[in-house]
Amino acid sequence: MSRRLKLYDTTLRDGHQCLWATRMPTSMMLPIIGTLDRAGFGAIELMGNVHFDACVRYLRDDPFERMREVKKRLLRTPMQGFIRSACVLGFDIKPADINRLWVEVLLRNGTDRLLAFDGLHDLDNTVPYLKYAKELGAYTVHWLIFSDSPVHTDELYVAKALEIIERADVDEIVIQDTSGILTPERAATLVPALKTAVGDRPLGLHSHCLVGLPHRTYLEAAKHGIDGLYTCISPVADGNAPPSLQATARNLRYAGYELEIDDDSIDAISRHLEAGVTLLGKPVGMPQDFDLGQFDHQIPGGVMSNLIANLEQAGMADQLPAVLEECGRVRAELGWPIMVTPFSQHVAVQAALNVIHGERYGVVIDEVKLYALGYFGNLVAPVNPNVLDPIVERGSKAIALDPPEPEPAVARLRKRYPDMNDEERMLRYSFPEDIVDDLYACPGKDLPGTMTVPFLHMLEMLREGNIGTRIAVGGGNVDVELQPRQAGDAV
Amino acid sequence: MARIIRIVDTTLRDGHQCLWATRMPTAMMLPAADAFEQANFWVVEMIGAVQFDACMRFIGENPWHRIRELRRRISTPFQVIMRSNCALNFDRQPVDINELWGELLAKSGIERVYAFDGLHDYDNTIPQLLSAKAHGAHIGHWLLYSVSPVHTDELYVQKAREIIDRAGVDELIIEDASGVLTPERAATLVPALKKEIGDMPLGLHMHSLVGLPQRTYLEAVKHGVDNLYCCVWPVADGNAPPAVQTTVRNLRYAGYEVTVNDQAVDEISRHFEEQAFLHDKPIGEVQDFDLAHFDHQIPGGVLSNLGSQLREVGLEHKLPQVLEECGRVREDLGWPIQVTPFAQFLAVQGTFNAIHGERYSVVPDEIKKYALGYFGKHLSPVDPNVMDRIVESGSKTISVEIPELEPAVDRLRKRYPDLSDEERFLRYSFPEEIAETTLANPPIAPLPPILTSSFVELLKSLRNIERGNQVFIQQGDVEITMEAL
Repeated sequence: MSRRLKLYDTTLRDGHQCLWATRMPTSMMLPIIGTLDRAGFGAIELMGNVHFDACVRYLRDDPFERMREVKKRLLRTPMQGFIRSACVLGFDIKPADINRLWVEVLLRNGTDRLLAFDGLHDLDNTVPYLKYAKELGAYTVHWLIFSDSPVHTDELYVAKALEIIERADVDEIVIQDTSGILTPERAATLVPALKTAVGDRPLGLHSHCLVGLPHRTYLEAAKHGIDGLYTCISPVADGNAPPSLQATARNLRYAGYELEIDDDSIDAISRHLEAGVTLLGKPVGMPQDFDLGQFDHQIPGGVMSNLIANLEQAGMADQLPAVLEECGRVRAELGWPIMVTPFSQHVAVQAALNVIHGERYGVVIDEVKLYALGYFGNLVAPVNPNVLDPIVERGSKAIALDPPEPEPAVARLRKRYPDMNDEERMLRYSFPEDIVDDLYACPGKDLPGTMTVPFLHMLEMLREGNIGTRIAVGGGNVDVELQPRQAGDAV
Repeated sequence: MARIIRIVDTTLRDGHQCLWATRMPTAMMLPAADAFEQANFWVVEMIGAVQFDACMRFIGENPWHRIRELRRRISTPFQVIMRSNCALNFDRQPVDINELWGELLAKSGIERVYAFDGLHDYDNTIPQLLSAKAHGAHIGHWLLYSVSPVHTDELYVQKAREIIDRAGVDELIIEDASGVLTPERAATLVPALKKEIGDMPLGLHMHSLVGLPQRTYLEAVKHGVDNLYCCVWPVADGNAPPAVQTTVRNLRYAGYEVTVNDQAVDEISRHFEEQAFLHDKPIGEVQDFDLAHFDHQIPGGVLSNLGSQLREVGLEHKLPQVLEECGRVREDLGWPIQVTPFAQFLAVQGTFNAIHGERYSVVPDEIKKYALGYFGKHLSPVDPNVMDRIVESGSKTISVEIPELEPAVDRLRKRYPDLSDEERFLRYSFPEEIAETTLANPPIAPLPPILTSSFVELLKSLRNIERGNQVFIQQGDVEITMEAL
C-alpha cells in the first residue's frame, strides 16, 4: 500500500516573503482562501514576524484583520503562525509577560497551530511560550533549523528534538532549512535519526530552492519517513522560496505516495497568483542551479537580495564575492549561528564592514556584541576567543557585559494605552507611534476580493486573457460587464 | 597542490543541438572564434553527424567548410562524434563507407575522433575508429549511460574493458544523454570504471534536463573523473549540457584548479546572448528535478520534437500517455539507450501505441529492423510476445535474415570521378537536389556582430542591454551618444 504524505502550504507566508519582499496584500489573499481551504493541505501558514512589519509599514494592511479574515474563510484547514525566539516583533529578547501576551493575541486572532523557533536552539527562548500556547489550546510545533556546520550534527538535532519534546511536549517537529542546503545524502541520515527521536509525533520538512536541492531531498526524506512537506504554489514558489507544490506533488505521486491535494483547486489558485504577478509586476520564482558557495556562507535568499542592493547602493557591487567569503569566516568565528533572522543579517552586515574597512572587526555592530555576550541566548559553540576580544573592546560601551533581565512591560503598556485592545497595544509596543497612527488612519479597505487595479491595465489583462474571461463591476445602480469578444460578435 | 580539472566545450556541437535544433550557422560561430582561441578549453567539441545534416539540409552550407574555417581561427584541439555505423544516416552503412568516414574526419583537421553506439555493440563503431586512428587521430569512445536493470556498473566496467582491448582507445567518456546520472550513482560508477581503466583519462558529459549535472560533476571529479563537458551560457542548461560558468565556479569553490579564461568565456557568452536576441533563439534555463523523466529517459532534442509533432496533429494532451508508453516500449525492446537513432524510434512507436489504442498494431520499419538486429546485438532480448507482434505488423519487405551490405566506396568514386572524397561523401549521404543546392552556395562569411547591424536592431538591443547605460558611436567626425533615460 502506498504511504500518505501531508503537504503544508506556505505561499501566503514564505512564498511572497522570499520572492516579493513580503508585499502580498490581504486583498490578494482573500479571494483564494476558500479554494486553499478545499485544496487538501495539512495547514495554511499565514503569518510570520516579517508579515506584521510589511503589513504595518508598507502595505498599510491591519495584520490582525488579515488573520481574522483568513481564519473566517478556513472551514477545515488549520491556520499556522509563528513566534521567533522571545523577541515578539523585534530582534532583542523581550520580557516574559510581553511574550505571553503576544501568544494570546496570536491565538485569539485565529492561529490554530503555533510554531516557534530560535536560531541558537536556546530553548529557554521558546519553550515557556509554546507551553503557554498549548495550555491555551493551540497545536504546537517547533522548528529545528538546519545548518551545515561542524556543530550541527545529527546527534545535536536528536538531542534538541528530545529536549523540545521533554520540555514543551510539542505536537510536531519540523526541520526548517532556510538556506536550502539539506542534501538528499544528509536527509538520509538526519530524517531516520529524528524519526526515532520523535516517535509518533509527526516530523515535517521545509526547504528552499536557493541551490536547487528540494525535490530530491524531499523524495529522500519521504523514503525515510517524513510525514509532512512544505511547499508554495507556483508562480510564488522556487527561486529563493520553497519548492513548487505542483512539481513536488508530481514527483511524490510518481514515486508512489498518496496526496490529498486537489489539482483543480491548485490550478485555480495558481491562475489567481499569476494575475497577481502581472498586476503588481512581481517576479516569478525559477528553478535554481547548484552553487557550492552557498554552503559556506548559507545566507538565505531574502538577506542575499538586500546585501546585493546595499552593496550596489554603496557602489561596491564588485566586493560581493569577498563579502560572501567573509560571511563564511564570520559565521565560523561566531560559533556557527544558524543563518536565520536575525543572525543572518548580523553576520552579513559585520562581514560587509570587515571587508569595506579593511580591518576585521575594526567596526563592530551592536548586534554582534550583543550576540557575543549572550543577549540573544546561549551559543551552540563559543565565539572564537581571538575575535571575542575585539568585539567586546570595539563594540559600543553602552552594552553591559552581563545581559540585564528585561523588566515586565504589560502593565505599563496597558496604562499607557488605556482605551485600546491588546492587538493595537502590541503594534504600538513594536512600531513607532506615527506608523501605527497611519495604519489605523488609513481608510477602511473593502477587503473581500478587491484589488486596486488601474482600469486600463485591467482592460489589457482582459484582452490577454490573464484574468478569467469576464469582469463584472457593480456600484449603485450601474452594472458594467466586460468580456472578450467571441467569434461572430458584431464589431 | 590542487588537482586540475579540464573542461571540454561543446557549445558548437551539443549546445545548439539541444537548444536551437542544431541551427547555428558557421557565420554565427566565427565572430566568437578569437574568444574560443583565448578561452583555454582543453578541447572544443565542434561537430557531429547531426551538424553535418543541419548544415546540408537547413543552414545551406558545406560542413567541411565549417571545419576548415574554425580550424583556421582556433588552435585548441577539435573533437567530432561518429554515430554507430550510420555515418551521416540513420541506417547502417557498409563498412567501407564507415571507414572512409573515419578517415575523412581524421584528415579534416580534427584531432580527436570519438564514437558511440546506443546498443553498446562495438562491431558498429570499431572499424571507423581504427580507420581514424590509422590516419593519425586521437580516438575515444562514449560509454552511454542509462538507468535500467541491465545498465549496471558491472556492465560498464566490462564494456570499458572491451573497448580498450578491441580498439586501443585513448580516452573514455561517460555520456549521459538523458541527464539521469545522480551523484549517488556517480559515486559507485566512476570508481568502478577508474579501477578498470587505470591512467586512461575519463570524461563525463551530462545534460541539464532534470537539474542534476552540477552535483553529479562534483561527485564525479571527487571519484576521479578528469574532464567535464560544458557549454557557454546562454547556449547551455535547459536540455543542453550545464553552463561552463556555473561548473567552473563550483569546481573552483571545491578547490580544483580550472585553467579556463573567464574573460574569454564572458566574451563568448556576450556574443551568443546578442545573437540569441537578434535571431530570437531560446536561451537555456535551469531545470527542476522530474522523477518521471527516469522512466522514459528521452533526450531533450527528441522531447521537443515529440511535443511539437503532437501539437501539430492536435494531440498535445496525449503527451503524458505517450511518455509513459515510451517507458514501456523501452522495457519491451530490451532497454536500448535513449540516444540517436533509438530515442527517435522509441518515441514514434510509443506515440503509435498510445494513439492507436492497440499496442504494436502499427510498427515503423525502424522498429522491426531494430528487433531483428539490423542495428546490432541487443544487451537484453526483446520481449518474445512483443517480438511476435512486431514481426507480424511490420513491413513484409524487411527480411528476417539481415542482408549483407555491399561495399560502396568504389562505386561512389566511379560515379563522381572528378570530386574529392569529402564531396563524394556528402553526395552519398544526402539526396541529389539537397547536395546540388547546398554545395552551390557561396562560401561562408562571418555574421556581423550586433553593433554593425541595422540601426533599428541596435536600438532594439539597446533597450534590453542591462550592462552600461550609454552607447557611443564614432565614425569619421560624426559622433553619436545614446543613453537610457
